[in-house]
Amino acid sequence: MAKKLKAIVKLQLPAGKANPAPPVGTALGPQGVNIMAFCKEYNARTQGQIGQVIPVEISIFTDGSFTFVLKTPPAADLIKKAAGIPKGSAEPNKSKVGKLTRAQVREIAEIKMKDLEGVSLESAMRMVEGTARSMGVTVVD
Amino acid sequence: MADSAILEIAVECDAEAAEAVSELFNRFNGGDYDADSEAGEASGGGAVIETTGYDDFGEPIDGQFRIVVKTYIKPGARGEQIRRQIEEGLWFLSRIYPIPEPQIRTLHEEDWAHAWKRFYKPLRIGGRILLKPSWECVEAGPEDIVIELDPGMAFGTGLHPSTRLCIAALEEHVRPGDAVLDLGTGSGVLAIAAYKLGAASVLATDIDPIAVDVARENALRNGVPLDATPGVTVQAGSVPEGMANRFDVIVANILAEVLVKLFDGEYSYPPLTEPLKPGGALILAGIIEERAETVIEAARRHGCTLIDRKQEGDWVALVVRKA
Repeated sequence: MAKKLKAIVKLQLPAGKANPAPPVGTALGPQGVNIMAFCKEYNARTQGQIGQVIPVEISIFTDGSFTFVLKTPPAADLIKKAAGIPKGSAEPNKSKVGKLTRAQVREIAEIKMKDLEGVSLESAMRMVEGTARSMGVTVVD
Repeated sequence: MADSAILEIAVECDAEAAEAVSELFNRFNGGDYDADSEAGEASGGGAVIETTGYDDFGEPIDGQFRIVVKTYIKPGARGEQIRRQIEEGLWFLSRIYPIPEPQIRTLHEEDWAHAWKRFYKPLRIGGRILLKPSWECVEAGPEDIVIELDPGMAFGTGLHPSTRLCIAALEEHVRPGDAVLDLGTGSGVLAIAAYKLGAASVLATDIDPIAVDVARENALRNGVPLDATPGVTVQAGSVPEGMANRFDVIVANILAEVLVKLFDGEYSYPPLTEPLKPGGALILAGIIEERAETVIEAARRHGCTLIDRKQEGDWVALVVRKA
């Protein structure tokens, strides 16, 4: 049924663990979205990816109903996971905190490409390398 | 929590600056909101990007389209620190990119946790049906049929004119003991209404598996027996196979284009009129005014006559009878 789109809200949430606390409640509640219903749906659909941050884009209609699409995890999260580090370096130019292999960069680039329309694997890989460098993670062959 | 006040920092900006501002919010106030903020890790859930100002087709309207990037900071000493870092970061950002002053306000739990509920009030539809969210109490008369329905995923909060028109048509055409088919059931509201209006068996279908689950849940919550006769059966799919001439009433609240294709059997389902008994009523809705004629045309091609037309705003519901 055609309905009028009121707002699109983008959030980053831990897969399978969304709850009505902020930012979900504070961002969606005032828009008229049933926050419990949203959390339940989001958690059901991200159950298989627990431990990752899965961004979500929620379309909210004037009658309070909503639909959402899931995005791929942020590159920085995928890099931390692949390199096995808890967080990026505070001084990425001086202190290096981890390493990624080319194959790992490629794997991450392939995941991110789902969100990047019309971007080649090579440029997606360059973007991942750029993010890695800014976190103090070096790429090795 | 003694003090549940949350600080909201909001920056209205263009798409390019939104990226930079979100990055800043994610850097200083990212992380899982449930994590222990006093332990030093940021735990604000990061940036929220909100866009508003869309036209009827979901396209941004020039001059009305707005992008606002927000983040929510927990109270406490660590929160104060995060606030300072963000304000500083925004100040630096404003040196290289023009962004307006951030809007900072305090939110109390009662402001947001239940804010959405005020959008939903009990609603009388047709003559006897009273639609109510679970947290509202209503005084129902002896003739009233109360349906409890909470807004959620998918479709059919009862607030849409099409839903109301369908319920009014069901009230007129469903007789006790009838077999009713609800195509594209969504929240299940029409199937539940048909059952409560006295239908003996209701088959509800939807091609969306989420809708199937939601409709089943809503039926149970309203005390409607599931997969039983009398009761409501919900299944994935569209026009059911092998059920020719079974139903007294069919309701299809979908979209004009889809209805025409269903009439013509253009999908891999049987034609829309096949499951309907001769003389049975077919309620067609989800039709905007200018598309009504094409649906009436399609109904005529398949041997149906128009017996009623209801309208609310731009939305039309048609009732046709099968020869």
